[in-house]
Amino acid sequence: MIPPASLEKVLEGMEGAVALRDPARLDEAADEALRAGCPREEAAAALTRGLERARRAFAENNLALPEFLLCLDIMEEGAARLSKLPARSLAPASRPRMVIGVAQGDVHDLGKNVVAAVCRAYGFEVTDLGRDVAPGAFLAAVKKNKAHVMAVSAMMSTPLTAMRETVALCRRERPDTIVLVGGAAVDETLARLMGANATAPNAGLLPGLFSNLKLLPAP
Amino acid sequence: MNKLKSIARDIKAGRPPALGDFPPFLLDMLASGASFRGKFSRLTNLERLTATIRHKSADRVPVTPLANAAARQILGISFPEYSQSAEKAADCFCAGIEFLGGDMVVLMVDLSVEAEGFGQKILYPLDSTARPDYDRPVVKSVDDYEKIRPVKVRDAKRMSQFVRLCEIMVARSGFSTMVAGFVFGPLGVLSMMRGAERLFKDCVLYPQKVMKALEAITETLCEFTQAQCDAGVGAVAIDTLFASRNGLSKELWEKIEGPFAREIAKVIKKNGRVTGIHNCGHGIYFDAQIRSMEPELISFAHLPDDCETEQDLVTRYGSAVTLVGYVPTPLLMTGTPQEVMDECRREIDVFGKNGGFVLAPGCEYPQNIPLVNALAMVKAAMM
Repeated sequence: MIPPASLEKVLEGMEGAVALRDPARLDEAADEALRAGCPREEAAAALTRGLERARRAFAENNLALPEFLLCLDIMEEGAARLSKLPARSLAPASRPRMVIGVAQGDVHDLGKNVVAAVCRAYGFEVTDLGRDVAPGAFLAAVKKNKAHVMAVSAMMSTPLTAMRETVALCRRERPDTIVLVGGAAVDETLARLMGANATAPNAGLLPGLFSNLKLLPAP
Repeated sequence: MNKLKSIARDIKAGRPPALGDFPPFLLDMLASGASFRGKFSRLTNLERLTATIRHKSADRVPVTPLANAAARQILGISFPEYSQSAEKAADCFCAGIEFLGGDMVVLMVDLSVEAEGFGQKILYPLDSTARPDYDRPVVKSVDDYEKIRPVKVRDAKRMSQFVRLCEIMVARSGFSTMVAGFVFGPLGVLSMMRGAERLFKDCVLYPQKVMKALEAITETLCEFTQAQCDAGVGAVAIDTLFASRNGLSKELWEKIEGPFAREIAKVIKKNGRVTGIHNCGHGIYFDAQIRSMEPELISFAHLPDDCETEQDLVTRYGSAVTLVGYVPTPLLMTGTPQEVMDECRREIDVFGKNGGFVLAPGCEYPQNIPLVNALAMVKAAMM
């Protein structure tokens, strides 16, 4: 068993690596975690704490988007490396499932990618459909994955018609699915008129939104 | 003396002289005269804009509905035709002016005009304006940045077409409407060739490599800007999209793109044209962009990062630049004409008291919706 002092150092390293987007620190902490057999759940929680620090800074405009993207990269890399660690339980049966994609007619996926990465980091099982996704493809994926959440993104105004059709189709066929819409041309009024449950002006605000929707505990 | 010759040449060519060719005191006299006359009679579009840009009240607030690609609907012109033919695009812009009205036309066609010249493959969808094929980016890895070289505008199909569009629009508009050219900022052009997400990370991790590419792109953009000025446009708008919270941090933007944006602005000023900035991001960096480009106009869709309220914006920047905006896109898409007019009147009350405000959408008018809300905007400005 890893001594408490060493464990604390490893976990601090994990947290700091994500918060400070420091790949060298991640290397060091992950190697030590693997060598010492650090429990996966605790290491994963440390990564999430690091991302939470970054997310709060991003949401409060103290961290810019490029730096936040790098934090997400470190988080994903850390999570991949921790998959080799021993797990205490086979827990994630109750993870919320999300289907996400860019509305048909749009190929700008930066916002969608950020949202997908944040949601993965906060425990969602994310199915990413990519760009230019037809309404029927969204619905098929929602059904196949028994998704709790469908998220549709659009940067331009031209795909908003397709976005509206996607939301309507999901509402009609899967009325219990929570629908999120987002993008440069979307605001709360438009989201409501489309029939979506919610939108958020930036991905840093998502955990709070999900806790309001009872999908996550309060951040 | 050269400026007087330039003014005479423009008038002889049947187009408005560049405002920067007039000595400031004379421009202020003209603006004051227009402002005074505007109390009793209707001004021409150019008089109204001149007064507004010099922060004098006019007979009414100028308006531009930016119904650029949306105006295709008037003539039934397809998106691919609009994107690829200067003549067809000019027909759209002219139909928009004739059908909707407006004091100024900004020739923003799409954001991939410049990237095509650097070898980026462009797609021409039937339901949208042109865009890059992001599956085939020119810059596939960070090592590709240094391979980007300046290109000649005459060798670039889309930039050449755009210059032709400027020439046609200046000729057709004569003295009736100010025609503004458009240049996507160098970082934006690079994002079309790399993808925004990868570019953003590269700006943090490999700033020198990115800046090497920006240097080459800027050389071409300066030539492109000069060509637009030679075509006779009265203003040129630079789109520095990533100078906002949707893009880089302010410090990084000032380091990475700011110096190159300044070079483009210098070309505009050297030609006496009005320098505009278009930026539809959230929390845009008015201060950094003003430091870099010293614009006369800034078109915005959301409040700047350092202003919490509209009144803050008026207090902080209202006398430094002419504000252009900022009717929200979602309202144009879902609002009734009455709701749009109400919002326009509200904005005119907040921003338009003593000149220095042009009513416009925050970004281009949505391309696939009916034009009724563009008409509502113009009507609101006329009321």
